[in-house]
Amino acid sequence: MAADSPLTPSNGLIAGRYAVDTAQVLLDAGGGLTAYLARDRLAADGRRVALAVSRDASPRIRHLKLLTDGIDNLMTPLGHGPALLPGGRTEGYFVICSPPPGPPVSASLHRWPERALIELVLRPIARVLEALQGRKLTHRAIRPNNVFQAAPGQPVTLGAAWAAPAAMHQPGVFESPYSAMCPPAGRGDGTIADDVYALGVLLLTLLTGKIPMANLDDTSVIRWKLDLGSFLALTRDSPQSGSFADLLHGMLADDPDHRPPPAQLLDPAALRGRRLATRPARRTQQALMLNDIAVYDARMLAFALLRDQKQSIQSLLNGMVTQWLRRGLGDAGLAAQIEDLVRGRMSEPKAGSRSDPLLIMHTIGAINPRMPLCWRGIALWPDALPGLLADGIAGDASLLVAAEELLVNDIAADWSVAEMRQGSPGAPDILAHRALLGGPNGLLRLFYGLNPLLPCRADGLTAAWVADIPALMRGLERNAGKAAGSMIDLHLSAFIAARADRKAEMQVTSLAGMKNADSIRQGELALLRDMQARYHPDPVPALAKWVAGRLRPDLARWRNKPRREAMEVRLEALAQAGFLSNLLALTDDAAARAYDIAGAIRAANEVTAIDAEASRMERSDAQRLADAERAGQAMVGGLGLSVLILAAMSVLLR
Amino acid sequence: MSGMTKVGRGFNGLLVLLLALAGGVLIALSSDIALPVALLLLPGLLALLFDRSPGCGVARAILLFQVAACVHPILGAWYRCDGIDGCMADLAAWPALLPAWLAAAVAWLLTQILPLGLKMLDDYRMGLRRQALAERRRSLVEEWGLDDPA
Repeated sequence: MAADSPLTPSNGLIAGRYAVDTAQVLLDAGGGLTAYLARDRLAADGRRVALAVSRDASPRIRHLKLLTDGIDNLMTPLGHGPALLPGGRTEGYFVICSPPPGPPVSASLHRWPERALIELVLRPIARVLEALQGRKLTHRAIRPNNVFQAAPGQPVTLGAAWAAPAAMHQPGVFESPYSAMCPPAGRGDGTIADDVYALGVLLLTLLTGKIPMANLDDTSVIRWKLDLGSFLALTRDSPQSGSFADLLHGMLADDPDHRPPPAQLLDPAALRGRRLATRPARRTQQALMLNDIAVYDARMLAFALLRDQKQSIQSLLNGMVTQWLRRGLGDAGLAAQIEDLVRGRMSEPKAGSRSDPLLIMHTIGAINPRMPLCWRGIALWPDALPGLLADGIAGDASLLVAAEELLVNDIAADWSVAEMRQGSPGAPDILAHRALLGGPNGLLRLFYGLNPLLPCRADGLTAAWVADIPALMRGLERNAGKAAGSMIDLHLSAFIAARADRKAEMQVTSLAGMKNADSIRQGELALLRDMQARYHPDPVPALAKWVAGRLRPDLARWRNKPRREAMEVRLEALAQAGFLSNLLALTDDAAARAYDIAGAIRAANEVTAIDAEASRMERSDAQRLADAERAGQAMVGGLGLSVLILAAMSVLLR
Repeated sequence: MSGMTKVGRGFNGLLVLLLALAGGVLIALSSDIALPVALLLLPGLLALLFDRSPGCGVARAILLFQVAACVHPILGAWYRCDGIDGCMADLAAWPALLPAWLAAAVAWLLTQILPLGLKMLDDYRMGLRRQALAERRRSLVEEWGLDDPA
């Protein structure tokens, strides 16, 4: 089990062949992520790129698993695993990729001719996206600093997008407004249409030689895009030819269904006839001021409702929103739909603290079905829940609260079912891991279960990348000298429950339910023993020494002192050998223990008998004196009788 | 002494009574014989009167020693004396009385010394046993970690 894991170090090499040289930082190769030079020990041209993974943001494990063969014009992942970070004291996790052919296009941003864009950018990347789509994968990191070109006139190569959650490092302008309004960790894998959108923005950037809307913050970008539509908002100040405008118009469509698939992008000329007639959004001249946003249409209304839950609820309950929808926007159907939702909320006043966010969520979904799941002011796509949870665990309390509520109550399923939307294909199966929520520290267990490559966050293990049980055993071995009392803390128990097998999970669960300190100690030692037996066959002398210290109370229970001393000597010897099962077998020998107890009982009985006899001897002094007197007198009497008989005999026999 | 049964105490009383009767009959029938015999056995008779030991062990031993010591004086008086009065006079004289009384004294002394000796022997035996028990107890307590109440 451990031998096949990428987490198992092999002489400091990742996947047995890649060595990370952390002394050589590749400044522009990571597309925003820290990148180091890596060398392939088995290849003549061994230059590779190692992308550093954050401890708080999971790499895209599906992509790392499925992208086993190379794709032209894409920095495909070649391997992944832990290696030492600069300084050599702490361990990091790296994704090894094929190297970029040159600098990123952002390094010298200039105007590209349309023909070059189509031949050198659009078609190569469309082929990459088509290949990814064929594997049910997305890229979600198409941006100027992650697209590389060897030399002018050469097709570009798409950078890596595997070392961080999908779209986490995407600038808001390169994302559709419905993705940009999510926190970076909440954007999810999305669909290939999201990549087409980002490619459209990239084409526009290269066409104009500047990043569109660069002077605006993300919220303004989203509002502009929602207000005008992405295409108009992005191309306001940039003239394009008619054909190229048609191409961008399709790629930047706000409705993902209206964007052309990658296969069609290979032949841009054919796209001219594809232009889909979209009904313009219904707008009103009479603005509704909601949460400091002037709302002119339904899309902006949905966005405004997301911004402040308290004011949004008030606006819904007092009828302001429905009134505006009827009288301002003239959409009586939508108004009636929202009134139904509000009535449902009013008829169930005791629905709990979730009734208001649920009302907002369903209302936003009804107003704009393209909006992501909106919960307590946070927008997210359900397939991003693992990343969101990781971000929350890393310190963002609001994200953690939202993620917990969504996962515990399975709100995402309610949202998806209600709005007839599904996550992207192959998204992490959260339902399969939800059983982890049932145990103690359920949220932490779920975090470790949903983010299988992220390391354990337990104190003392931060220097190493502990992402599986063999690594955990190595980490515990390193830290055993510093451990004081219990070793299995909150994070460790959750980590073991999520990453080990079912038996270990049950052991951890029962351990959490124990109240007695001795039971906890024994349960903990049994867990460590079983983990070594199943995951780490190598000796762990330091950990064994710590276990031996914890087993001393068991030895103290042995009553026979010579045997106890012999066992202590044996325990020391076994601790040096480093196998926990032998240590526990020594103290868990039930037959020997029963023999010891029986011997102790016999000895106690014998001591009691000795004490009783000694007591009797103390009390028998007077009786013994009387007996001695009787015996003495009888003996003197006997002597007298003998003398008498002798005297009589001497007379008679004279 | 406390271990003596009612039958035993009754037997002792009966014995003293019979001896007193025998003495009384002897004095009544032949006071010239009774007096020397009483003198010879005087310590034993006195011990018989005052002995409180179970079974009158002390008096019994004194009497047995006295009787044994009286065998030869009585035999000598029987063969050498001149008439009964002369015999009795010989028996009542110091040369006959002294050995009998000395025998009584020896018997009394033995009944006092021998129990003490036996008690000392028993104490010695008990000391050895107590030592063995203490040693065994110490080893058990040490081997099994038993709480030592001492």
